Amino acid sequence: MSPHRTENFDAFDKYRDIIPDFGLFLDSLKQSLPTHFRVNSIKCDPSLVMEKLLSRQIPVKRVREGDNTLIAAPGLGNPGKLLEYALGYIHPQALTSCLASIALGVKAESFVLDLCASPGGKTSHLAQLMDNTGLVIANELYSGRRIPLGHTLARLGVMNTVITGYPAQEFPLKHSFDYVLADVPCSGEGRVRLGSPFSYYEEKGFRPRLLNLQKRVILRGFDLLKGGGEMVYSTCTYDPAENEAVVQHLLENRNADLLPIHLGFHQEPGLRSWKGENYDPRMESTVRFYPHTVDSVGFFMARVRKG
Amino acid sequence: MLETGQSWWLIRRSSHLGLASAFKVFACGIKAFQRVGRFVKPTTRLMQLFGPKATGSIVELTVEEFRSLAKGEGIPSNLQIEDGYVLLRLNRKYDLGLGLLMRGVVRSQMRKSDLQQISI
Repeated sequence: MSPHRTENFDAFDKYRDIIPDFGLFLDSLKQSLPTHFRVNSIKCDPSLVMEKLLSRQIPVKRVREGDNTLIAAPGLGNPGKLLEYALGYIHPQALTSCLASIALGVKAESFVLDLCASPGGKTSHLAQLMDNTGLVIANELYSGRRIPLGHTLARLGVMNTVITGYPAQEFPLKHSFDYVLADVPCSGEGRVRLGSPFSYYEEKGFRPRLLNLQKRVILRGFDLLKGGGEMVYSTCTYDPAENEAVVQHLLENRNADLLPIHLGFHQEPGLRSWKGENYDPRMESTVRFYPHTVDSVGFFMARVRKG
Repeated sequence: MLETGQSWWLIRRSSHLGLASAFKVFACGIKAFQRVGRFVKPTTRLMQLFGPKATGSIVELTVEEFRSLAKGEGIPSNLQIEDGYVLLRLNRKYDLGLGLLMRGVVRSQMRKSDLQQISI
């Protein structure tokens, strides 16, 4: 897959009827993605990090009341140059990407699987939310992607994680997990913004394989849950074929429930239908995040419970 | 702590840890030590995590000294200890990582590219 730079956003016209305030949505794509980072409470006290950055005239602000770990840094070019980055105190991560780990609601001492873990932002966030306790299996098929995954986890002081290398859709059914995160490969439409390296791309022939993969991963993720266990299925794309249709496939093939998601940011409910295909009424519990309302990467999430 | 070949890995104890043996694992926890010749070298990541608990072999750096180390230069040290690995600490609070003291000169053992990227 080779993304190519373009400022032509016509490809999104097919979503005109499902994205609210479509004109504002298109306008948001012409803005650069804002800088967000997560403060890593495994290695530091988030409130002290904020104080330090503000004292150096680095403009940072909390994006959510009462949460010292999700930070917006407008105008900050590259957080990777900060001392705090080298020390593992902060990790550049899109706001919506952080919300996936929060939505999963992991608890300390639990047994968690991250099926598509690289480059490790969500994995390390899970570890942080678990207070670096319990066990996270961080799975990444491609050896080239396991390297940055390992570096991220090491830099952030994650000590409760092991790295495996199975195809997500074939992850061994040897044990059952309390929680599963299935942040699957997707077409990445949500990452398209002006000047980003992820301007719209399309590769013929890849799409059917992608959709099939996503369906197999969501089923495998569900099958790996304990009874009462929970999974978050997430993508950074707007395409219902990769979002609601995949969740629909799960609901039709497994005894799964959809749980509500409320994270304190503007969200839209999942679609009830798309191109003549009607979805289960429970699909309204899934959520969509759009760049013109959360000023971050476009995102989709479904929270699933195994009965 | 788990040993593999020339490395030692530190992972948080958990009731689930035994379950991980069912899988083929590529890495676990953080790499804490690795054998380099006849020496056992702690990793920078270990030093960053446990530095606050260090009680000796600490080289306190000023910003200027940090910048020298980032360029690959050595800095003189009056530490009255044997030659060996030391903890590099910046401005009396930031545990940066691993240094090596040899004959009164300290050099960083951290990746130069990592250090040079830091803007202080």
